[in-house]
Amino acid sequence: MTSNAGPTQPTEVVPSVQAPHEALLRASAVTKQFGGLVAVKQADLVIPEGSIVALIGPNGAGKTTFFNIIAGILDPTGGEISFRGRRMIARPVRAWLEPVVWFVPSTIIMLVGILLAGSDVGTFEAAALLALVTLITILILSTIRPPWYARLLARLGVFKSARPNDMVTAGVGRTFQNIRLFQNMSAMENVLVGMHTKLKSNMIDALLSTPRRRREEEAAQKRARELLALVGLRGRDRVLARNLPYGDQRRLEVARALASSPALLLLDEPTAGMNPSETAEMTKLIGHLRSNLGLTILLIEHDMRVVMGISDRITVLDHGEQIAEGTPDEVRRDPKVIEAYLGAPAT
Amino acid sequence: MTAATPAKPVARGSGARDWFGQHRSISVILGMAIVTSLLPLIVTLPPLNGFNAQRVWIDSFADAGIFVLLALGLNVVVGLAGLLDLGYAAFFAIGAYTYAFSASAFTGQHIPFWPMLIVGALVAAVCGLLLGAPTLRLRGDYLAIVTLGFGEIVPILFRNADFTNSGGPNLTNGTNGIPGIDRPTLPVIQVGDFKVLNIVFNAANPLSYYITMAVIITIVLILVYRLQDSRLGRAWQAIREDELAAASNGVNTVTSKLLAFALGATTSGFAGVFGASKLVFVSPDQFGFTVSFTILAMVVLGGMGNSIGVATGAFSIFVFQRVFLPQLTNFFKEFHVPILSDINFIEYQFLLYGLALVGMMLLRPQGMFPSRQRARELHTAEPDALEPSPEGLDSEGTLA
Repeated sequence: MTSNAGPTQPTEVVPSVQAPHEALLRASAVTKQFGGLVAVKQADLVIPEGSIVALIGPNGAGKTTFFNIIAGILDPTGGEISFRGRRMIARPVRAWLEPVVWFVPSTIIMLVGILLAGSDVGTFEAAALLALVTLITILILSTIRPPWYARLLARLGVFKSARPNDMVTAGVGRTFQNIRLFQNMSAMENVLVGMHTKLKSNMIDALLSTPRRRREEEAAQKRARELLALVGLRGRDRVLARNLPYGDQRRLEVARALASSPALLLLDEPTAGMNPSETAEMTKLIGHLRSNLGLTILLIEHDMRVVMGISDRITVLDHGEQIAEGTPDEVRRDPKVIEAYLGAPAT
Repeated sequence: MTAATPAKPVARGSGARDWFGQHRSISVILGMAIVTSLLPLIVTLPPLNGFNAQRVWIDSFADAGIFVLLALGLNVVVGLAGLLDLGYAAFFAIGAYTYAFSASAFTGQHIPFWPMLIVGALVAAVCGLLLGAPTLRLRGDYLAIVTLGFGEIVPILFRNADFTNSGGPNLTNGTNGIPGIDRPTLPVIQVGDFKVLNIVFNAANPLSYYITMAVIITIVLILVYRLQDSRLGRAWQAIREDELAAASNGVNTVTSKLLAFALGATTSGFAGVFGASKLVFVSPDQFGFTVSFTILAMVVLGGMGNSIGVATGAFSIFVFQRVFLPQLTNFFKEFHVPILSDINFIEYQFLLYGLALVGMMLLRPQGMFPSRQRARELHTAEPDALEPSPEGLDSEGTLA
């Protein structure tokens, strides 16, 4: 495991040529503190493209926290995460510069106004009004953060962690440990929400009901049906999510995560609460996603048969610290792992 | 692999119902046209023509239209996106004052009504964004309190922006409000000496206001329905259900919520401009908390999330308070019913709202005409949970 990546190293930021086993996601020295509690401590993780990596550890080891950091939900206290060679999540850099930038255009307008106005009160008032309108516009823009605004900030050296929806756009899909479907929406609608980033029609298209919107909507529904069929929910597209049985809800969550066509799929305990046959099906599905769709998968799992069966690499966390990393066989024999799970041998 | 049990479709309606579902814009136009033409006729029939003259009825309907618009706009914010807004009257005020500033003797400007209808809506939309931006992180009660504050700030601002006492300018004419606002005008179309089309907007002729209102409501209804069925509508619904899950599935919660605020405010801006041009007077007292509350009560009683339901609810509540409560008071006065004849029912308007809301929450929490979605949310899980899907994994993997 490479853990040498410091935030200052330029090679980390510049996207490099995609080698066949290029790291899709690279987390280095990720730390998360909640007050005095260190949930994740200096954790490193490299996920090669096309692999299945498992994250295991006893309860409270910080697995889900780590997951939430990767998904952009929690901001890390330290360390950074890059996806496809691009730094996505880290501590903010030069964040103070952003509010300064907000005031630059308004200040220029005011200065020009003062210069032009001289003793003319009308011109001065007009300039003040224009400056105020500009400031309001910029404040709203900074809240919306359109891509070009983010790029402008990046050029100034300001860095802010990606939001969850930015991670989805970049190609990271996820499921939740405790199912978080949109309970009162149908299976189809759930998947369509997952397709949100892939749909291009905007508000104007919707208001005018343009042909583009209609075509796109039909294509989206077709693909949603395909995805439902893929996870084994064929013909259930009109059933409300909350009326689906437990195992099907888990599968629907996978379908929803797949809808954004992710390159990396984060599965948080995909077989939790499932019976053995459902677990076997889910394992088969995960293997299928990797081999037939070329997805890279990071999963948290407690069921060791699932983990040992399908993972290429396993990372073990305990008390927020990474205690082992390697192939299933290596991890299985690692004394630290045995100690974490079973306790230290009697002396 | 066995064939999957086909999902039971939700109670299928007749063919006509399907057709209207698919051609929603046409159905809305047809429906509004029928309602708009029938209402002035119905009020000439026996029990109703005794209450008021037809002209007064139409005038009330046009006023009711203002509240229908407001309720439709609030429904976008509260019903679709699930953001509780207790200060919605602020946008109404902003729309009304925008028109008052641009078309009255007070400022000396006389910009025509029609472009101002759009401008007023845009100004309100920007204010919607301004309110939305700082409240994005807030949920539930906290959001309600902030919007409540915003709803108080705006009328107070208009009330106090008269600085004549301290030697400053008089921006809003304070509590007295701005009188003498221009009425809408339409060009007279003439063929020779014969006036083909001469629509006049004045107090004696409420029909032109009534028809204008009907057209605006029709357009707003169509647009709201289209938004509701779009990608944005789904995003709102997802945010209402589970904001974190929505964000984790790529929904940009920031822009979606801001758009909900802005679109709700836009509709309110229309209502404001229209209201100011009809009443030809604006004052800060017209936009107090009671207005926000009334609109919210209309949305809740009508059936949150369902535009037609909300519109019907707003219309019936307004007509009830405007026409039937005074009639009720007169009725009891005339017949000298003990106790009841001493009551002025209009003063008990909010008591009646309160009772209606309490009764509604106990008996029918989804409202009079609920959306199917809201009805689902308010009733606990139906017992018809399905068996696990027998199909299992599709080994072919039909994904493109």
